Amino acid sequence: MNTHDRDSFIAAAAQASAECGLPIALDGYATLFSARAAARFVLPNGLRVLLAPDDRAPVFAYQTWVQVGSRDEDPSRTGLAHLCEHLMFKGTRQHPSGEFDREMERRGTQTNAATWVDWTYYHEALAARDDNLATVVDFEVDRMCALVLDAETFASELEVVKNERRMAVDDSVGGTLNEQLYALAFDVHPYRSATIGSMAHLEQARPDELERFYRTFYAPNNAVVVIAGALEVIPTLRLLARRYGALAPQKIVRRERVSEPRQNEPREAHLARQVVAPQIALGFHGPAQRDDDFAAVQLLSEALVEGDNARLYRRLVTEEKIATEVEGALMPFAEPGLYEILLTLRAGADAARAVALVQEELDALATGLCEEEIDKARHSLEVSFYESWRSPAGVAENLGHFEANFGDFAMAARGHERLLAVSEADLRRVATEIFRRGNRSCVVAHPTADAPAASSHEVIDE
Amino acid sequence: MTVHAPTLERTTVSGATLLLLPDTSLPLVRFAIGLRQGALIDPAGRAGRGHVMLELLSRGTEVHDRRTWNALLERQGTQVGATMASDLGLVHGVALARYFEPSVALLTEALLRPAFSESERVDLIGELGEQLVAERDDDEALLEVFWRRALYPGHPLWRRPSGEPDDLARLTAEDMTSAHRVHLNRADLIIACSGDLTLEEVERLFAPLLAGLAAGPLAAPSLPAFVQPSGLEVWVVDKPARTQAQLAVGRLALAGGHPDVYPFWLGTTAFGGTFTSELTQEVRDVRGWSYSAYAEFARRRPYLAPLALKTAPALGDAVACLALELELYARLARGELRPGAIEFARSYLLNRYPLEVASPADLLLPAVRNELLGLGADELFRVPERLAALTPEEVTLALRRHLAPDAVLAVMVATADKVVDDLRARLPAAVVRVVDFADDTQMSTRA
Repeated sequence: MNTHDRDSFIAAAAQASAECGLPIALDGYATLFSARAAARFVLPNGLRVLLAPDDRAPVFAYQTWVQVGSRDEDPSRTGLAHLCEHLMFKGTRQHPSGEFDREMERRGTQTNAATWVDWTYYHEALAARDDNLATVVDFEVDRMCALVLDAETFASELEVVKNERRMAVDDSVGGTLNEQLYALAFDVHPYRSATIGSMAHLEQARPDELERFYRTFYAPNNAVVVIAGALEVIPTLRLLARRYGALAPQKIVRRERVSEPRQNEPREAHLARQVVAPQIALGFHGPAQRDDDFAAVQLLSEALVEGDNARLYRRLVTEEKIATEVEGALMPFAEPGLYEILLTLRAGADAARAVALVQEELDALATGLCEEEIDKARHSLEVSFYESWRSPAGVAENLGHFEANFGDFAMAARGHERLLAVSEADLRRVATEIFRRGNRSCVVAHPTADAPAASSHEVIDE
Repeated sequence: MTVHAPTLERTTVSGATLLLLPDTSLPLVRFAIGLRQGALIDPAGRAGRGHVMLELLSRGTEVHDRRTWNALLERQGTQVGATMASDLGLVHGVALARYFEPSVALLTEALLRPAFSESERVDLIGELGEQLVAERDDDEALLEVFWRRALYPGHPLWRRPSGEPDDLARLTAEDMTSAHRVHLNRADLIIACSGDLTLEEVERLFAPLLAGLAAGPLAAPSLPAFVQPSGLEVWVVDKPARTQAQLAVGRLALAGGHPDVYPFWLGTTAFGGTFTSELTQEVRDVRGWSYSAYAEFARRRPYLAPLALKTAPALGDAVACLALELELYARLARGELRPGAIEFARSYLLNRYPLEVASPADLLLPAVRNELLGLGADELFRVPERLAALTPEEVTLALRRHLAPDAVLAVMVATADKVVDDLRARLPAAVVRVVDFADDTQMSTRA
């Protein structure tokens, strides 16, 4: 099908349903852009399916978004969601360990997975030919509900995860800063724990608790399958319904949701590390991605850190020459997260002064942005928005992320219009609330010889 | 189903090469302005000259000061970066299609009429010097620094394209004008675009740039011979408080354009280019020793490029992991691959090919590099036929021809007192040298 209006999707669902004997409901539809569209279908067991046909190239992306992330873990047993993701590439009831990787690679598949705070997703991209789709479905159905965990595989993969932690956190100053920043900024919300898990918790991880975690969260009614690219809608729906339709839903038991209390006092921590110059991570509590103010923070961020004339770059790197690098971003979390600012200072630079300069620039945002900055931010974000839709994998990621986080895949296509809807008054209001001093957390990695003896709020290293 | 196969259009205009990969899917234009000479031609004692020159292009022109020029470009939303690699300079980015023409006008202004202000040069050199030092805080970057030094003794390629601290401090205003003259000329220019454009439009948009450049080309510099290790040479880059080692094992192999590139690429993919390959399986799957384990070979370089086995084992496993990798490497160098590995790798690369060419914009840089190697415009699309034609004998011969089982380098970023004794005990034949991670003067001593 090359034209994808709502009626054609409804007809496709009806036909596929009649052919496979399972009710398939069209549950949502959205036009994307450039005559592309996406539709959501739901199976009786609660599995959601998003299809975004696109015939530009003979390839497709297949992604499974499971609504479980590190935020769903017991805070005394961090790292299980990510460890589970690793073990999902091992043996299942139908396919022994190693068969998934061999079969996918034989077909030239780009495959991997990622775990984050709100979701875990598994992705494949491959040529749209032969029985590639059927093969992917076969493996994905099996590992959704029939993972087999043996002690030897568990032990080996646990070592891999520990090495990943060493690479990403223990031997990485940036990774360490990030982990410490979230532990400092959040008192009660599960975002305070790193997705990779603490080394102490990893050392204690056991196969039985991982099995319990898997059985709790991996179920069709807790997942979204997204397929974008070269696909025929009717045969695809029929195949998915026949294979996934046999899986039973289960009761998903989640931890009680907690809200982080408003932060009213600045927090800071100081670490002594093997670095040549101080590095700083700052965090300000910010809006969740579906909040209208998220777009306002995106625009403010562009003005702060993107480009040669960005306020923080110009002040700290060009004018004061106290830093060599400045980065910033608001994390796209399902619940309120942090706007992060990362600084690499010059050797010997005064970290406290750098933080003070940052705060001065943030305070100045209370008067808003000039027209030039707003144009720049909107146009730059427009480029990024379109770039994210370039490949079938990018399309699937956009749709899957918003569906998994908010149950609203159509929101993915509204990114640009949300930016346009932000007013100058919104920018001033949001800047004043988000970038107030009391909302700030700060972690500084000092060269070991220069580290201060005490700090106002010290985060304990494990 | 409609399938749109990518196409590459090519023309030369006044000696410059123009490439177009048409793409109507998005209202964007991706572009790359390639300079055929890279950091390799930085004179001795002047490493970083080309990189600094490229960076200064965006710090003011004869028409607009730095702030105004950047404000004009940024307001269009255009994202631009400048990269000086050893073999190639690149000014590259992406623009909204409706702003591509004014963005090209601004880029042309910067490329033809840079201000090269004294104060900006001094400030930039200060920033870059700090960044070079800060690389010591990134273990993967640190590995690359010392890997270069080990691979290329006595050859300009040992130097970082972004410069070396002492050399940066020597750069003068004359260096900037010299670099500008030698890097920017029509014969050395490759302009590549991907978007809803015609080749005639690309030619029209870049005509002022071409008109303002000298004809060129630059005479290629004479370079010293490459020197391979004569035995097992192990560098331990000593950095305190590591929990993990960053490890690279290998040696110089061959240059792009060599007749053996395809069989060598297929053989090294079979060995370490997939999750199920022998290297990854033995290091990661069987033993859990490293999160990443792969064999890397850049097949489009115009100079001798290395085969590198890259892993990151915990410090306690580092020496055992190195010993294992050396054993695996030796078998590879003798052409001993696992049964079926070549066919499996061929299947992987052939079946992956549709993904490689699905997005025309992603073909920009490979197209520029193929142009640099003097390969035809259609080389991008001949990958499947070249792979399909290879025999296993050609693959094993290529491996034996370009690798040597007992002459190999290893560079390890680690905390030396945790590994050196074990290293010397387990690998008695190795020449082991310990270098301080902060020492910018340590070079290989192979003659």
